[in-house]
Amino acid sequence: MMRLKQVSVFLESRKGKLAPVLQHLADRGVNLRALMLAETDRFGILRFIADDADAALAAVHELGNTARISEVVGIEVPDRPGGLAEIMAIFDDSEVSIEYLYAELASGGDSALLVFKFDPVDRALELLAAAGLAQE
Amino acid sequence: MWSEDVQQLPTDQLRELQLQRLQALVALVYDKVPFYRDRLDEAGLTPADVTNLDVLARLPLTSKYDMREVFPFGLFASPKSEIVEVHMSSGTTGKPVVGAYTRGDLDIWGEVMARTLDAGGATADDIVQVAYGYGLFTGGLGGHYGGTTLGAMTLPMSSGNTFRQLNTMMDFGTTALLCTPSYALFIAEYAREHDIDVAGGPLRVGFFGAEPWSEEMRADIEAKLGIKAYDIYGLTELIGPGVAAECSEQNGLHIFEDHFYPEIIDSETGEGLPAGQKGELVLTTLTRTGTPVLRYRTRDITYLIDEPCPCGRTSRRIHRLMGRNDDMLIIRGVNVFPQQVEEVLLRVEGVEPYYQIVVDRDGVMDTLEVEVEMAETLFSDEVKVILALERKIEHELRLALGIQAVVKLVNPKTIERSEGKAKRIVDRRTVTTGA
Repeated sequence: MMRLKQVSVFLESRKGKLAPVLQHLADRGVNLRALMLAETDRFGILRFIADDADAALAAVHELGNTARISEVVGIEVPDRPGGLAEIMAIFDDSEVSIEYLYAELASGGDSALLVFKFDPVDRALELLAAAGLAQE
Repeated sequence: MWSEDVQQLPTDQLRELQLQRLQALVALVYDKVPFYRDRLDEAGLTPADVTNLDVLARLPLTSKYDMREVFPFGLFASPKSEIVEVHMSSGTTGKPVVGAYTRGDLDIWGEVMARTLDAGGATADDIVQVAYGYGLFTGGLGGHYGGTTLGAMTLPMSSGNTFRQLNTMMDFGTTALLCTPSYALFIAEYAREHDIDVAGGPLRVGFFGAEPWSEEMRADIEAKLGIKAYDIYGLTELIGPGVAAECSEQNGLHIFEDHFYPEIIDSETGEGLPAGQKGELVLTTLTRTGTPVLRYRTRDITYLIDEPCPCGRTSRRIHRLMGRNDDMLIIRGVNVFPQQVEEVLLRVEGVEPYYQIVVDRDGVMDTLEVEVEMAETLFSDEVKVILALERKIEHELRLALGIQAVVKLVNPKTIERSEGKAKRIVDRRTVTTGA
């Protein structure tokens, strides 16, 4: 598992607000490893993991979008049935809540990187360590 | 005609009556209201100087801003023990303006609202449905007192619950409706959607005010509801509805001049303007004793019509309102100032004072959207945090404005700024007020 810096971008709920952000990130050479779009009828939030979070944030700010970096946790989950359920079981009966999670865009091997937003994150890391997942 | 003697008083006698009442008014406020005494002293005037109506132009003007400075009791000209009712209107910011009524003031209110209904042909035989809001807003109770003074069966429905409005209207055979013009259209649309034949029913007349409307809207309401629609005018600072009303000619609103003295001034210079010239309406209460008002600047733009009217009333008329000279918005009949929105936003931690108010009309109902820039400090990666922020702002706006607003969060710097100052209002409603 690893601590990751996620970039979150505010999107107004209007057609054509997402594409320019993605295009600009591409123009700045930002490679996206994982992403997720949360949407409501009022607004959207684009969340993603990039190779260089600070450079990605700067690129988004160039467009004038509100954006911030938040701390998430990446966990390599074995690519087999029950792989994710085992991870989730670590948090059974704990005070940790999982606000959201999403998966990386492409995985090469026999495991997949999942991105977790925990609350509180420190307690989540303790529980993960106690369960034998080493921090990279 | 209701109170025919006074409504048809020859002009010279009417002016004499007005002068007597103005003298009594100035004497009253000079004696009882330090707010006015100080201003009269500053102007170097005493009640003894009011020897003719021309002196009125030398008396100090009063603004909504002045009035809220002395909230809540600073304008009372009668002891609190003699006040029997209170209404309030929203101020531009902070405190509202208070209107306090003695028993005599309520009698005056009932009288001028009875004249309002009578001017549109209503009588004691009518069944009057009051669909203005009851409460601190003056529309509901003003209409109510008019109906009961006239002797009509009066249904205090208040606003909203359109299904019940229509059911009651059909069950009781309502013949006269009082509400905002936009609500009248809403009722018409609702009836059509639910196959309720209002136009074929007993409803025959409507008295609509509290917001700007147009001749086109009148034609629409008259056709859809099968009624005659009359424009009525008033404001909480003066008394509420009942300051002026159209007669059957539907050609300007007669001011009930034995109770309210009208002037038109140039907004910039304060100079009086003659009949026919457009300017700001200034009104003085001639008979009220709770909270009498000297030369109130209404901010409403119109002109005086000083010609005989075929109806026989000798009072002057004002043209249908032609706009305002401040940034007040009237949304669903409620007065809204941009500064109120700003105050709310500044109370919510982290919100930048960049906002835009977008007023539109969805069908016949006004909508209010407040666009707020999404500051980095407010932003979260979690949807629930942002939704909670929106709800909090909407709740605060609802408390401050008294009407529902939808908050829309937008990216920073997207709200148009002109000359370094944000453009606050986008009004997409297309009401032409005959200007």
